[in-house]
Amino acid sequence: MITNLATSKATTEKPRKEFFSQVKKQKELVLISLPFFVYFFIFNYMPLWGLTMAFQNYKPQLSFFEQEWVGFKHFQNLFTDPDFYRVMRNTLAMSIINLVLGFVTAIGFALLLNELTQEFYGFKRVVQTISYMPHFLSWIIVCGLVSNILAMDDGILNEILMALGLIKEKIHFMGKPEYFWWIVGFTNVWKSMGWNSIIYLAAITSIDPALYEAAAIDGYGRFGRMWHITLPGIKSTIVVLLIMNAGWILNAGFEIQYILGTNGLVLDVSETIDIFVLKRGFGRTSGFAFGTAAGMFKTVVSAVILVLCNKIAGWVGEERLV
Amino acid sequence: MRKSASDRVIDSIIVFFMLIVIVVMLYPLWNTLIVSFNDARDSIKGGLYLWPREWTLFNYQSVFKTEKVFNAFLISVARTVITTVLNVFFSGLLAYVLSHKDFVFRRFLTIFMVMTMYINAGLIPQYFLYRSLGLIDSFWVYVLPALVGAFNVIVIRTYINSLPASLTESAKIDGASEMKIYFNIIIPMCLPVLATVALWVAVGSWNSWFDSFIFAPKQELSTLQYEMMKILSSSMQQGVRQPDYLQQSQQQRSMVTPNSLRAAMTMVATVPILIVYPFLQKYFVTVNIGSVKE
Amino acid sequence: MKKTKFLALLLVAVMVFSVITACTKKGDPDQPGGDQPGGTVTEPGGTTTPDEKPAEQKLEPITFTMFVAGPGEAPPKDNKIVKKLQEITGVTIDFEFLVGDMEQKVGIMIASGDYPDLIGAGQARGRFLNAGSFAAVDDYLPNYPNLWKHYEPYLDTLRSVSADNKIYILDIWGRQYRLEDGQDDFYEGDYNGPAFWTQKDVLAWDGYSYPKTLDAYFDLLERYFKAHPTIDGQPTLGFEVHSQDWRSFCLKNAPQHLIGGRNEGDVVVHPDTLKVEIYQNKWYAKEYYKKLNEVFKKGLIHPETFSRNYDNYLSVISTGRVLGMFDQQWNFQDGESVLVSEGKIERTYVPLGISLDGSDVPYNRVRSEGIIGGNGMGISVKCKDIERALQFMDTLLEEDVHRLMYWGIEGEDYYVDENGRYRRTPEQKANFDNPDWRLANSGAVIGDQFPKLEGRYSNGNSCGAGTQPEERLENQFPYDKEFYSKYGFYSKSDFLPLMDHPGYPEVWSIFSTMEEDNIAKPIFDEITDLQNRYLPGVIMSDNFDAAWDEYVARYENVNYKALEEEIERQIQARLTKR
Repeated sequence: MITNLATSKATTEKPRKEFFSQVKKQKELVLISLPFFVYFFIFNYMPLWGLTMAFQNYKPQLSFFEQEWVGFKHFQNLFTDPDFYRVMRNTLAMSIINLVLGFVTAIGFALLLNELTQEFYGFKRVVQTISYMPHFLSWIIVCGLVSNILAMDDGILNEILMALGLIKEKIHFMGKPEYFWWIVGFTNVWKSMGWNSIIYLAAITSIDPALYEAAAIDGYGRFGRMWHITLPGIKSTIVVLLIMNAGWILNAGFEIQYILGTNGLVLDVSETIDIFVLKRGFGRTSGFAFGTAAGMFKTVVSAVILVLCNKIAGWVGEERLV
Repeated sequence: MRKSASDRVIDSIIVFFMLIVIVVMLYPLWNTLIVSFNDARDSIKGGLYLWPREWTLFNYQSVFKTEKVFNAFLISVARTVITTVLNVFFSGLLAYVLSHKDFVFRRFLTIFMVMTMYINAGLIPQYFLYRSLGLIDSFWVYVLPALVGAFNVIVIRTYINSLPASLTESAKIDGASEMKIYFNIIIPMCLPVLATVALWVAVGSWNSWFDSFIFAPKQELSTLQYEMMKILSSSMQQGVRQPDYLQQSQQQRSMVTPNSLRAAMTMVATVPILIVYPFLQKYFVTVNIGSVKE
Repeated sequence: MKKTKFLALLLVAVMVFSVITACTKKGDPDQPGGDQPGGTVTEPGGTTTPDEKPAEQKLEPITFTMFVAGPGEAPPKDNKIVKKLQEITGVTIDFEFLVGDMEQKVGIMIASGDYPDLIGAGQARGRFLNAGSFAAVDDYLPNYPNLWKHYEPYLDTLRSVSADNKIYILDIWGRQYRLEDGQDDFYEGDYNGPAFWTQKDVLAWDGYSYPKTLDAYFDLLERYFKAHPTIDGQPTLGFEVHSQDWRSFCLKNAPQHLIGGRNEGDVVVHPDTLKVEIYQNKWYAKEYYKKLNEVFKKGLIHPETFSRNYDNYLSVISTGRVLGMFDQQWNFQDGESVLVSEGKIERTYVPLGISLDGSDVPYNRVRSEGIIGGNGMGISVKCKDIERALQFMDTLLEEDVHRLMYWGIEGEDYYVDENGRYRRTPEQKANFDNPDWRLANSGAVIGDQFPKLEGRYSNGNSCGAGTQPEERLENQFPYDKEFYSKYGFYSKSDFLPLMDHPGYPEVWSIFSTMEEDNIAKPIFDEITDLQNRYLPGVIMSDNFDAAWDEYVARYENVNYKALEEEIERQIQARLTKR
């Protein structure tokens, strides 16, 4: 594989003539990929003229040529808003918590599940099936359960902590800013750990069983094999998913923060950039344009992070996205 | 095949942990099930944990009150099946193409494709595009925009790359065409990841209602989820918007609340897709052979 | 979020209409057109349309598509009344109700120009009006006798909504028909607006008292609270301050009423000068929050009240252990209905009009001013047949047709007693109380989206089953009858005095009809944000004065003067155009 990579690098540096002969040689691949290129162009790139809205005082009733152009006004509004940095902080904090907790729990769960041996096959399927069920519940249902569990009134968590004597008086979980990000993080884990682990289980199937045998002969124990065989076996999947998810770092969520965090006690830590953009745009014509500008900002951030992560992955010799 | 004592201990710990996972993960759905079978007015009081207090089928009756739901169910099935098959096929194909490390357009096409995950032109230009393609109020608006997904392509490509290269090499030497290799070697070898992607696409397509709302609001094309959203949104009206002719009587009427309806709808919309799952599951939950051979 | 906010506005709008009780002097005392020549059910075409179109053409089947920018449910095709309406008019309405986000749906409709024939404007009226989505109907209206009679006294009001002074939106609510026989007040619905809603048992325990001041009110709650630490085995909750999202009006709106104001929302309007001021930083707001802070420290307010979501709020109401709250009844009625169904009538609520100086204040119990403009539906520029659509609406305003929609079929859905009164048997009522039955068998699903009669028919019966006075009195529980009689009242509405309409719409509704880029909107958002963010902390603060000063200082950065001036201008504009 390493040699393959080296040759591919070499080919791109070869003169034009060689490029065409390469195209000719790969004409089947070229032919297959052409429709995909057209497809992405039509469905994803053609509508991009809409991004011009970010520079307009966009009004839907006017045609493109009748719009009023306002330059970077919306961007200026975005970056100079006193709340912008607060919502960026919240977004990044929750995003990073979600990313780390999400990856660690999903991978850990997949590894543990994989450790269940043949005699537990049926059990394994049951566990796996059940673990992904919360994914199908809407945020509003899950958040309803979370606030019941954490309630002071007769929330089960407070009851347990009191019964164990761990706390002296009930904790107002939903009203204390210091808990909010973690509530969001663990709720995300609850909802999507099982679902997210599926891809790792699939990746594990590609590992050559002979490797486990060899490791067993070398005297590795179960954790040794997990660490030295399974984890490296799914590493490329982990890295690629990590890079792609890092690109969405400014998408920390919307519904969960909105449902759990709209009371004045935690508003300062709950608002994400998506909530902020909707609030600023609501009921105003500028909503379309402002939202588009914010979307462009997010795309730029994504692109920068992708390039960075891709570079880093390349430096440390991992699977790269591009 | 004997297990050592420490293996036994580890097994027990894992099983114990998994039992906790089962309880914690099953509970939300269980709770939703309880609420869906409990009288809506009684549910307002809260405190429903393990068993319904006042059984009723009324919430389900409210979901199934019109014949529209059946047609919507068929549309949902059709869109899900067609989209899933096509998306998996095309995503796999493109992934296979991009797995050729020496492919001349590999880098360009990958970047071109990856960026589609992060750019969003907004709904209005999208609507214009679909209109000019004749997709508005057409069934194909559910399918065509989801023919191939960048995320899926990358995931499949990563899987293909992790397979031994020797698998395809001999076929290439025999002069097999790329399409033939894709059909005969890649698809069978990639079943676990294709099953995963199929699950993603199927669930996404099944759960989506927004495309009906914006691009195909016509009743004939309504999907199950969109019908559910309609019922839900009109129930929100019922709770609050009380014209005079209702004000007096609302205290006696049997009642649905958004929460109870939502619970029933979740069950109705989730069960069909849950049934699909075991068929896909066998591809990625496999027997762990590694740790039993000594 | 947009959706919830939109719903918020809708709810408030609805609330206003449900408290409409009577008609201003401007109201037309004439009867609606049931006995107009040619305006009969069998020949709706008759004289109601311009002569150039022959009558038989009118019944040709036609389908109008209609988008309603609000929640609702389309009736099934076999709804018996919808079928009858089809026979009478030849018209089928193909509804699309809003399900998701209004801004996206409406934005796309406007940008693409793909309009349906008819549009229920809802809270999207500003967008539709600005975009020129509606066809003006000024020239058509005089040709349709029922519509003309319905709107003629309000033409200026209808025009005042648009920038070019034309009629685009026809209000579907607000036109009250009265007989002026001294009976009209009986047709008033129960008050369900803002007040200090208080448990009946608290007042009964205190010998049917009526605390008038803030001090007396919380003193009563405190005494009851101390005497009843638990209710039905659960800890008593003294006073709830719901503060989630847009429902935070429960937290914020009380001070305007404490000095006698109407439910304007976020400002107080001086009744004589029509000067406007925001009040969340004023002395009377301080008095209120200081009181809340004081009772919070006494344990009368539970800290969790601020973080309770709406479901949990309804849940504690439904247990009957909340003694009082500032709220609007429609907001907590789902919780209250649990108490009713369990027979705990003494735990349900009556509205108290508390004021700072102990004087009688009406809160929002206001006489109807009739049609307010902008609250209804319009005919889109893409409508396939404007005249036919207007003719359909005209027919719906005939008494016989209206009765078909809102009472049903005589002998099937209601009966006429020996005095000519419309009555319903218990089964007929039970049918109507079932929302699913109603969807399949009642014409209200159509009528609700179009101009309609309110008040009374020419024969004295109510224009809708629920407001028939005989039925309302029959529905009252014995506990309530006795409770009200102790005060010399007949219903919970009597707890508040009735005030005359001041002649301009409530300020919150001005906000929703304002043009989108009005300068007041961002300022308003800023103030709202400040209040939601700070007030719970102020109420819970150990050092009230310091917290209050910090909060008030925040207003220095907000240009709220501009907001006040803009609203003054808007009020004047709406006053003078009347």
